Amino acid sequence: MHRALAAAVCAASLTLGTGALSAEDLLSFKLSGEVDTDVTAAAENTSSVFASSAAFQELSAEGLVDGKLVFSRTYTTLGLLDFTGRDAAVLSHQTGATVETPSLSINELYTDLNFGDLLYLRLGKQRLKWGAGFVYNPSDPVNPPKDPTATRAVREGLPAVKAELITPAVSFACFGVIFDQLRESGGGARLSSSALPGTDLSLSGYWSSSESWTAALNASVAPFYEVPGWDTLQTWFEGGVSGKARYAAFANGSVAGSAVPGTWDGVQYSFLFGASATLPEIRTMVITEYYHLSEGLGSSDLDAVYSALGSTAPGVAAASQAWLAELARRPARQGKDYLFVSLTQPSITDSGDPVLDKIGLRGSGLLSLTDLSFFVQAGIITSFVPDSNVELGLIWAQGGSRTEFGNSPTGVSGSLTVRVFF
Amino acid sequence: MKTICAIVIAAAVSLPLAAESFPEGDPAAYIDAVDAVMLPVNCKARMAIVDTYATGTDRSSEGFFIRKNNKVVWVATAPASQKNFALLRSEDVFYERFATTNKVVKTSATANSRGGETSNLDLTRFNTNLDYTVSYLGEESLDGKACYRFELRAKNRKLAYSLVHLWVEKATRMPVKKSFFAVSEKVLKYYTVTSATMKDGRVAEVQMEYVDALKPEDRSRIRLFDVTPLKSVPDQFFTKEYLESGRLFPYDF
Repeated sequence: MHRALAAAVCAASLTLGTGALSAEDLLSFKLSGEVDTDVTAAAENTSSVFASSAAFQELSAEGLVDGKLVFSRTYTTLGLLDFTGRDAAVLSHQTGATVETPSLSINELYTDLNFGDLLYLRLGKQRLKWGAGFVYNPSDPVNPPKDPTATRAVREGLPAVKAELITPAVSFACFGVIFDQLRESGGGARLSSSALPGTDLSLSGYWSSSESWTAALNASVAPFYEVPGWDTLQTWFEGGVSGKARYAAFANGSVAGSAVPGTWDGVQYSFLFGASATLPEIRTMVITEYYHLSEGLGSSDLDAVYSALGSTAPGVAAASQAWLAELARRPARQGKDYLFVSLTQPSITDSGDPVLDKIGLRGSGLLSLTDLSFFVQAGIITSFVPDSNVELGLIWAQGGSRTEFGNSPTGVSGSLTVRVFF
Repeated sequence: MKTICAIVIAAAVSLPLAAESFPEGDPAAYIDAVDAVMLPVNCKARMAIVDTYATGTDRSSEGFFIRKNNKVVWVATAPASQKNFALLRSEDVFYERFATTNKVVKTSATANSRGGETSNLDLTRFNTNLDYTVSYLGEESLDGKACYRFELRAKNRKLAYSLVHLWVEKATRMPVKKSFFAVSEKVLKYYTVTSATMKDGRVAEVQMEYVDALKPEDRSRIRLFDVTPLKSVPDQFFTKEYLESGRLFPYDF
């Protein structure tokens, strides 16, 4: 029933938006996006506690269409449909049959209404901008959380209505969201300003009966913006305080050595520091972020949980099974502290070289400072054909048997992706 | 008597030559008028850019921009992989929006965010007197056109080239050539106006060619067209929040 309510909100928003046009207005449609085909080969991490919980795919292929359809006419009405169509295929080594899993996701579907040049209303399924964090937003209580280990970030939105007042000095937005469980619906607001030279600030707040309250501060500063050669250096901070924990805590089970999800008590907090810069001349973009979660598990708790899940003692693993689902829903959020570093070279040169101008490199690493396990992604991207590229990618997760990334179901994987933009 | 004459002659020789005065009045006002011929203060326009290199390769991109006096937003429309890339200049601050996400970061005036020979400054700064102190150097013929020559000295080196020389055709008030110098006063690059179409006393279409003075084979050809004055432009279009929202800049061309 609640999904129907959310769908009705989307439909109503489109109807309202279309109705706002006068008879002589014509809608213009613009479609853009990309078509990806991907082949992945992976080596299973057989020592992972998740090894037995899901079938592992050594070889898989996937086709994907990521598109945005935008419709507009003057600036009184706009709308957007952001969708992802996917078809994954796996050749079963047991039966020889191809197992296909098609899916279509509507990431965003909303309409924008303008009331003069000051007030904007967005109605429908949308992603609400919350935090300054790049790889993750630790203080965000609203949006589906980003997954720092995901190779592809599909940013699904949620049914919401947002009103925004944008002035040159400050912007104020207030919003209400509808979740599947109606009692989880809530409302919030954000006040942001770039009036201070070189600084972008925002204060946000959110409340729902299920999430309790959340307050967040975001600040971005370019400290050396006036210094040539240092002007691309930016730093940012995202900090949040919430009245209720979102993730389970460790607790001892009744079976000796087992682990049961407990509940964190009291106010919880999280914060993130980040910095980025583009190195002059060589154009390498560097991003680094550190984030801390007060409700993450400490190293001894993580050790105890993974030890229980991997135990061969009778009943211990069975009594700890609830932790499997809990850990799976919080990738890169199991521990307390993480460090992320990313390097992107858009092209090796930018001098007209017919080969080196068309080869780009990317690499990122996520280190759990709690248990010292890590997750690395790297890729080489070539773009010899206009509006397309071919990427060779690698993922590697490593750590001890009782660590977060040491229990990643995939130890190493390689992929080949062909991408066409339209 | 002879002594007096000798003293008078010596004094006359030692007097500095009088500065050449600009025949059309105030050089700064004249430059404002030249800027107005090129682009109205509030306007929209389309832009096509082709970068060519010594290797013979070239790269094309297209976009449009919207200008409200000293605020400009430039949005890429081609190639497909760069759709949604945007460059925002809000007075003295520059922002860049990545093509694949709506992530907005600060960037610098002198960076070449879209690549090629055109810097962020070249794409978004159209108010000469805001950035430079103008002085008149004299008349000169260039490409068979009678021109005034001006020297522009940067008021803020972070936001402008240290030194610029500008040639303006007397008959049309159109720029003919602009040379950009480094702090060392060595020519970095220059552009020449290769063609222009006028309508109602201002530019409707203009083609310029930027040349890297150190590597003359590396060039960027810019075609500015569909220049359309706008009665009003919302200030909201030139905020970081608007750029992050992913909303269109909904001007049809």
